[in-house]
Amino acid sequence: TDSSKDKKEVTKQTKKTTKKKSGKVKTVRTEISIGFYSLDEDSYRYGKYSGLTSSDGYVLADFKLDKRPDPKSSDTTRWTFQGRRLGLDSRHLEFDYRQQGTQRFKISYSEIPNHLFNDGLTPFREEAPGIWNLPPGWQVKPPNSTTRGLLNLQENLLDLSIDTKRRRLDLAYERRLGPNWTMDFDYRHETRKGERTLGGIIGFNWFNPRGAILPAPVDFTTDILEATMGYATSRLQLNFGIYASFFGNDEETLVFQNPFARQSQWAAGVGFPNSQGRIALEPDNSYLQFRVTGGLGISATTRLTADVSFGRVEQDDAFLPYTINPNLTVNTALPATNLDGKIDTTMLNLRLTSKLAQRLGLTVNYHYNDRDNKTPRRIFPYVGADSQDQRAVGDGRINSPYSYTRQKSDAIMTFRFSGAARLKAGIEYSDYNREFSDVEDADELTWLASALLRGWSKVSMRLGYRNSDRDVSNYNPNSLLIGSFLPGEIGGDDFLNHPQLRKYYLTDRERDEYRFRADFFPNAQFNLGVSVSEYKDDYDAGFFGLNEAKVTSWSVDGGWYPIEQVALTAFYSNEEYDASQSSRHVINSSSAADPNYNWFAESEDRVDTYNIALKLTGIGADKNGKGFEFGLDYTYSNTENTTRVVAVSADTAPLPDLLSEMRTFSIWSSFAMGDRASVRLAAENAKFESKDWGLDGVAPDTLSNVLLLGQSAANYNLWLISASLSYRF
Amino acid sequence: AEDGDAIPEHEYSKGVKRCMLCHKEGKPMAAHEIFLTPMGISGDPRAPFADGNHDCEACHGPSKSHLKRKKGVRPPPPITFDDKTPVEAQNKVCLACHDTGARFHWPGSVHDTEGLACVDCHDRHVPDDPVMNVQTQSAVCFKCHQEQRAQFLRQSRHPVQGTTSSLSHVGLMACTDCHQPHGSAGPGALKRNTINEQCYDCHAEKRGPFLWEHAPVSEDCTNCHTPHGSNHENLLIARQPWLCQQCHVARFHSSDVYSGTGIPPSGADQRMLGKQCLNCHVQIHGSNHPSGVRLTR
Repeated sequence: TDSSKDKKEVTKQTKKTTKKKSGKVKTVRTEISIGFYSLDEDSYRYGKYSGLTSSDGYVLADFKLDKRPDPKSSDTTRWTFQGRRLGLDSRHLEFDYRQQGTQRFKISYSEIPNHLFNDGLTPFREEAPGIWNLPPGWQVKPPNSTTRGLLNLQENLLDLSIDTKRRRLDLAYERRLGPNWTMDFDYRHETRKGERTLGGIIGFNWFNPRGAILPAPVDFTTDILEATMGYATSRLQLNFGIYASFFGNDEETLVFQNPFARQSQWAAGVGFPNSQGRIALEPDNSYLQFRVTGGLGISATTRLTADVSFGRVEQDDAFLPYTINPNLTVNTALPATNLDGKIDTTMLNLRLTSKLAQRLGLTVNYHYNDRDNKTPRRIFPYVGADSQDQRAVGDGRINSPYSYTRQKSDAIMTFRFSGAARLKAGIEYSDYNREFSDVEDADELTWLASALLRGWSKVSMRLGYRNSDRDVSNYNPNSLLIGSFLPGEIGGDDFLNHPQLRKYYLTDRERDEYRFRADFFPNAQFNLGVSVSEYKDDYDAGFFGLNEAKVTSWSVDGGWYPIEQVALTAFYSNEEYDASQSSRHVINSSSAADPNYNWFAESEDRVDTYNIALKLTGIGADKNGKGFEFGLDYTYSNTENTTRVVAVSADTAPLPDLLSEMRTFSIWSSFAMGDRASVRLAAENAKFESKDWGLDGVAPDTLSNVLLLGQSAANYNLWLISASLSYRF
Repeated sequence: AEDGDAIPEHEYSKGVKRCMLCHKEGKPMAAHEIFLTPMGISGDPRAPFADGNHDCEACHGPSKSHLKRKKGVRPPPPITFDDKTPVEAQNKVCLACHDTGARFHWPGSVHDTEGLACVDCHDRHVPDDPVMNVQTQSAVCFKCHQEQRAQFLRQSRHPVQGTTSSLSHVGLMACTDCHQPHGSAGPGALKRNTINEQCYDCHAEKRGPFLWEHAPVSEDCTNCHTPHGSNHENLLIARQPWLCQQCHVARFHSSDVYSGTGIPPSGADQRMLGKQCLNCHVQIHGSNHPSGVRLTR
């Protein structure tokens, strides 16, 4: 009968996904892929994150062992052991074991390379980690020479590669301790090693700096521990947590030999070969935070959540001396051996959600975020860039441990119409209080509204608007400067920045944000989406600094699936970021008051991005598992930056555009030779062209005062091919 | 499941075997792979397929009426995870079991108030939910977040999988490394309480405190950086020196006019070539050197 046929089909389907042909339950599935990658040329930039940088070839090695329990047994154990990109610098290994409903253990290891460039040139030699000296026989032409006075620079330049690599170990353990209690434990150990670039500067007065861009050591270790104990009933949920972060830097300094001859403004004895410069690299730090989170169902329709945390950041690395240069006069000792830096953080988040009526919801939030910097204030009569004698105490500077408190309250109402259409409207009020800042008090009022029109069978739309108005009651442009000197050492009218400057992150601002998104899906075979958005920041006219910033973007995306085996997807995106700013070239008090020294800059960033991809699956598939898959993918991203600078009286010249263009064409196919084996072939043409006036044609000695590395902007045009055999058992 | 227990047993069908009569492999709305998901593990007493939990109907509701056609039309199950069922009703089913941990902040979160359903992102009928996989997750997020989709294809970006099969854009990070899409106490659904705390998770060297702080850095990394992708190196929001000059109008070089006269062949200005302002102000995130008041040491 039909019924008996159905029952046979049911049995077949429920077991089909879990059993092998032998009839035994198949609980462990293994898949191994072995093959190779081959580039037709070296390219450091192409393999920035993947590690595919060399034409020597790489092993393609992936595997996955996946154990799932027999659904009809009492077994709840699942585990996965997998590795990806094992032959590359971006490898990942992971073992995830869980007894569903009881406990979970996960361990993973990841590597993330960051290949920056390998075409740099430097005359410096690394004598020891973090110590860079010049080669024997280094010659300079005294006095007051520039990079042109580095007489044997060219013959002493060595190739330089700059890259870092992160290695990360993650451990996680979760356990259900009973019907109401759970425990989560996460630990991360991450190292980051390699080199970055830092400028090493000798000389400090306005017109006489001399310096060199150097490879600086990166030897960071970060350990993060996070543990949470959770209690949950249907009405009450509580989490008690601790978060601890310990950062260590094994390279505390970057020391370099001064490559330049003595300048007349430098102290005696400063200049090649008798002086060095020293930079303090990032100090060790620790952060400990305790956190309690709670959720309470006040009624069937009202819920209160609270999240409170207290933390402390500490930093007490020993101070370096004022200078490494013994030829400089230092009369005043350091006021302390270390910073004794302490920051207390307090955060509170409250949220009340309530369903006021069948279709009306209300969410009220309150956020409190306090950064209380308790680092002591001391005066530091400093040494100007290892080239000048120590300043007098009265000319020293006092550190300004920065603190702030932010509070934000908001209320958001949502109304749901029949179907899935809904309206949302809300208001936010933010209050900022800062210490050691040009602006100590600011507030911001925001209102927002959005609509979701959804529920028709073929279209949905979202649109939203948000307006924020930040108001600053009192802008004190020189209070920070005055506060960093001993009382009476500078005049009350002295300023560091021009009094008419308004820093964009502090000052009055009106922000408008519009968003629109529409999705059309006339049938199961086709979908199309359109997005448009604009953000606009307006700052008070008549002041220097950022005057206006606007981001406009729109995109179209869609998919066509004429039959189950064919997927064609595409998207296009356009974004423009426009910003305008103004300033005044301040030389003295006269120019500070003279609008003829004003200048203006406009910046436009334009980005066009599109991608089109075709995927064909199940071609020629038969019941023995044979079949063929095929895919094409083309991605294009073009960015242009135009900066225009005009001045009332100063000479200016046009700047070339900054350009970058990425084109990637990929084609791949996969042949399944049965249930177990398949072969995958892939080829990719990647082309990247960029023009950057800050790098193009800039040699190590192009600048007079700073010795550069001379690396070029990224450009490559290469082919990558890969082939792999996958086997499942 | 708790709600279901109050429903008379006769409202339910005979379980998954009955469902698989139609929702089998090769058919529209096939659900046979549910057995390979956590839902299908019958040994877990909380799972829908554990004894007494009514299998598919634990989520779709008692569906006895769904088995028979009425006037030639098969009535849908009480809960369908599409537009036929209000989002709140859909999500209530999921949250009946998944209401702790990451879902703690779901009520009132942006995705909640924007009316997203759990199934808008999750596919619980497949063995490997794409949104739970680092290499396929971003494609799910990009369905709505089109701006970020394009930003991750720029030359300066975090290594999140872009919308391309190119190996140069391989995904080493997931959106959920920084964001908690189910809601959080932080801004932008970040996992940590503040933007800076989130950044310090991987960039702990910038936490300080430093002897000489750079206030906008200590306050908000996004004052200068955009996290997803930028035209400018190091994810900066604009090009130096003009970015720095938006906050610095001091005597001499920080207020000077920089234009094409400062680059070859017209000239060579040290604030425009190399690392630009950072040629000298090398520790822009803060300096711990006693002589580093100007962030040059």
